[in-house]
Amino acid sequence: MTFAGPIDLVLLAEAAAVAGGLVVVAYILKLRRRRQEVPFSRLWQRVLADKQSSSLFHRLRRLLSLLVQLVFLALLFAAALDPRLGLADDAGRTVVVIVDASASMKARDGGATGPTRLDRAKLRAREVLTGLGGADVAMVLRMDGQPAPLTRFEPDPARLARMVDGIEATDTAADLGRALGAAADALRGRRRPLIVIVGDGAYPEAAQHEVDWLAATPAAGRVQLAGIDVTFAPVGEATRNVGLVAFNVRRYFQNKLSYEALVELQNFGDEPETVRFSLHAGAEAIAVETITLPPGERVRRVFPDLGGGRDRTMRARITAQPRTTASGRALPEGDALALDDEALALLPERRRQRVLLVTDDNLYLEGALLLDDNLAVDKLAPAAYDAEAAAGRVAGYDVIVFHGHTPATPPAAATIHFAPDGPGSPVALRGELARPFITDLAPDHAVTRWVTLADVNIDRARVLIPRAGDTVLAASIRDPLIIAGVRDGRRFVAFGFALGGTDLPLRVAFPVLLMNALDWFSGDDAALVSTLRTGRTVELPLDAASDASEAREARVFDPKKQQTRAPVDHGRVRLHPKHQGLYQVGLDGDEVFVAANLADPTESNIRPASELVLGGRKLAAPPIFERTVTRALWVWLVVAAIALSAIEWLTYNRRVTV
Amino acid sequence: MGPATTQRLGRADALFDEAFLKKLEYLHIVSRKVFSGRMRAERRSKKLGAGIEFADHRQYSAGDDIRYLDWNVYGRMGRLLLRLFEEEEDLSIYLLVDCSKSMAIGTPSKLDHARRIVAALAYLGLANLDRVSIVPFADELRPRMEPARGKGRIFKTLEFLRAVEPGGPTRIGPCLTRFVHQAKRRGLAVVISDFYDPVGWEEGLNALRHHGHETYAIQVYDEREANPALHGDLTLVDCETGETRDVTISRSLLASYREEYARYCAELEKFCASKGVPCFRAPTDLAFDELVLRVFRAGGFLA
Repeated sequence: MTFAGPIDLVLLAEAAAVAGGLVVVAYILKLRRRRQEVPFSRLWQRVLADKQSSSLFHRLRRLLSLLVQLVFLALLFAAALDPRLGLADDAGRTVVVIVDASASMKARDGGATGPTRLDRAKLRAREVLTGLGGADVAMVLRMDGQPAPLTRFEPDPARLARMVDGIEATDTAADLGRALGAAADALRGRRRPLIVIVGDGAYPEAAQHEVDWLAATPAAGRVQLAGIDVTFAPVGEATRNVGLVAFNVRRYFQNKLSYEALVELQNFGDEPETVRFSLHAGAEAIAVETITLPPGERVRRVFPDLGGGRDRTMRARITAQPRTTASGRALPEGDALALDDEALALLPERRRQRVLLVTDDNLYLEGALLLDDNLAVDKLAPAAYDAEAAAGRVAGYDVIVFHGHTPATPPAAATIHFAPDGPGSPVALRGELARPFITDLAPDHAVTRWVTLADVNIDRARVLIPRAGDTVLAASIRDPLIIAGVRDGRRFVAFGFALGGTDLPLRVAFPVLLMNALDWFSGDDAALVSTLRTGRTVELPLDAASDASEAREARVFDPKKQQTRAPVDHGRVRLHPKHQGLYQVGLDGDEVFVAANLADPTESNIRPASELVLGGRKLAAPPIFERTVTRALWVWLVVAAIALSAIEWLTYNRRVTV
Repeated sequence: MGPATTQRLGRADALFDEAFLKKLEYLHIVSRKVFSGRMRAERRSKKLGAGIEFADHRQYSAGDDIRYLDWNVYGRMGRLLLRLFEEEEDLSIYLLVDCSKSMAIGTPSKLDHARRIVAALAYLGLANLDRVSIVPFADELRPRMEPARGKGRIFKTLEFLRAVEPGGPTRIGPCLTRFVHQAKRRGLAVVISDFYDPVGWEEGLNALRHHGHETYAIQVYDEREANPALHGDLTLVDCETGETRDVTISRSLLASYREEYARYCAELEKFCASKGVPCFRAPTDLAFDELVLRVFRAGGFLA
């Protein structure tokens, strides 16, 4: 017999002694009796006189009552020790069951109406759990893009099975490395560790190699599995699948009204497949093509000069056509994994920008803006601006470029300021630099990318003082000269110098700088990826999520329109899309839409693996658990205590033990 | 009892209703012995005299009333025999009521129950022109109701009974011994008591018997005395003596008590039976009219 109770034995003995003492004292103390008037006590005296002869037995019965109470206490304290029969406790296993809940587990092996691979995996996991022995404990771990344990180590197979039933597959790739790492960490130091992987084996090759089986010095980034028994329970049968592994759209830089789409398809099956590909802008089909793919073939298609369609949402869809196998079996339309048969992308918003130039004649400035056909440029003399603004005639412009004039009241538009001054300046100014050189540039910012300003000559420049959240685009040593930021929800770019005192307009960088700024104002970021991959964490820039904002979380509506939260850090929202579809991310009215697609050849390759090799070792099938004979006795002790208590109650109330 | 009397009685006291009193009116107390009395009543006495019921003959002696000579016997046998008649006389009924403190127990109290019994017996006695006397006692004789006769005294009887207060311990022997020494006329003595006398009741009942009283015993008790609904740890207090006793009431103890109580009652009944004293048991929960009409009649108390 062993004792598994968590309470220290000495402490328990002390508590038992105190409790026993209290019971004895309670028996010694004389009870205050109720007074009862009787008409003739002589009768009672006669009765009690007869009973006197058995007073010794009476005392013994009272002693018996005391003994019953003490035995009751002893049973309770014995139950607290958690005694167990049998010696098989030490043979108990510690098991982590990893259930693959990645995108490929959504494949239906038995046709469109059959169970998914995840359903089969749950069944297999339940078989493993119900075979656990009495001394075994297990944990369930879900494996998708973000593996997570669903339970602690539990001895109750029913509870573990309930957790398995609640697992749902996500549209993310399985992160085998992290799942194994989490399982190994949980099993470290535990007796007879065992990992059971239940899945289809569609895991990246790299993760399968980054495993160490020997207890050598652990290498960084590798999972240490020394001393841990790892087994694999494969599920899945079907192999027929054609998937979209890449889909992206972009507008042309020079013609924002037109765009092109990139699509990659791959046939993961063993037979040639013919698919019907269609590209939709909203509900409107703008390209349709039938493509035949040999087994394993990946095909790339570029659809240039696309136009039409009023919707920004682009949808690519493929449908595998019916065919007959080599064995003569007719296969219906569609394949086993529907998830990768569709992909989404969002086009940047297309709109002509209205630009107002507030400047005296400046050929370079005007000429640079004439480069872009998507711009509608008007010009206004600085002296006339205030009157026009007061009359409300500058409203409706998307961008206003101020050169040689700074309005007292900021306009309701994005602005570019050259040598701003006065109270209306979006940035404060300090000092003046003579012949500064631009020594620092922010090459990653949308405004200053693709340009170099190292050799630009500037006669005189005012030093700009950025506010929190502003970005210094260019600086001379530590003195900011060009700043970008947001004021009252509107973007601006401020230059600390006028165009008349610099050779910047003569440089190639100048028009690029202006175009970048205008694109940045419109949100048309040519570098913005129009689609995200599910399971990959991305950081989305949001103006409203700048450092000045106190918000630490952004609101996210996933493709199922369920609201969640995403953390905000340094002006960027960290988004981890788990499902394919359109995400809406918002903060303080600043809303962006992003599309997320699986686009993962590893997950689209649903060919089930009958075996799994990790770190050069082929994993065995899960063992059949040997049921141990250990039996916890505390329940029986408690039952005995309750029964004893009931007996004592009955005998007391029936005056047997008093 | 005339209608007017019954009406007055019904208004005066709720002890007996009109119907009950009408039933009692036709009942007669049967005496198994004939007592001598100075006044004529509806009861035959042992004394031979001017009655109408023939009793015996005796030899004529000088001075006898020749109206009672049996001329028929003289004609046939030639002997002068005098006809003797049983003389009817009045009866003394003594209703001895225990008013000790133990009689105050019960719902209704045993004393109230005893009052009703005494009132009924007194009424029957008064109605038969007997001399009815009520003698309360506890540890000593209390002031008694002087002998009364006739229905008209019933109201004073009831007033007397109402004034009887419970108190004191039970001392049946000394009280009844003192009573027989005070009572000049022998008669019918009915002892109404719970007979809870720690010293015993034999002495008292024997005293009545030995002094020629026709003795009746009525044991009044409450059913809860026979079957007490007690449980737990108690201190029992004797209501008369104040004695205390700590007990833990168990089922077996209760059973023993019930046996003891039954034995106690059986002792009383056995004693009475051996001495020719009719003994009746009168539980307080027994309906009064039922008790009087059925139990008393069955016991031979009423004719």
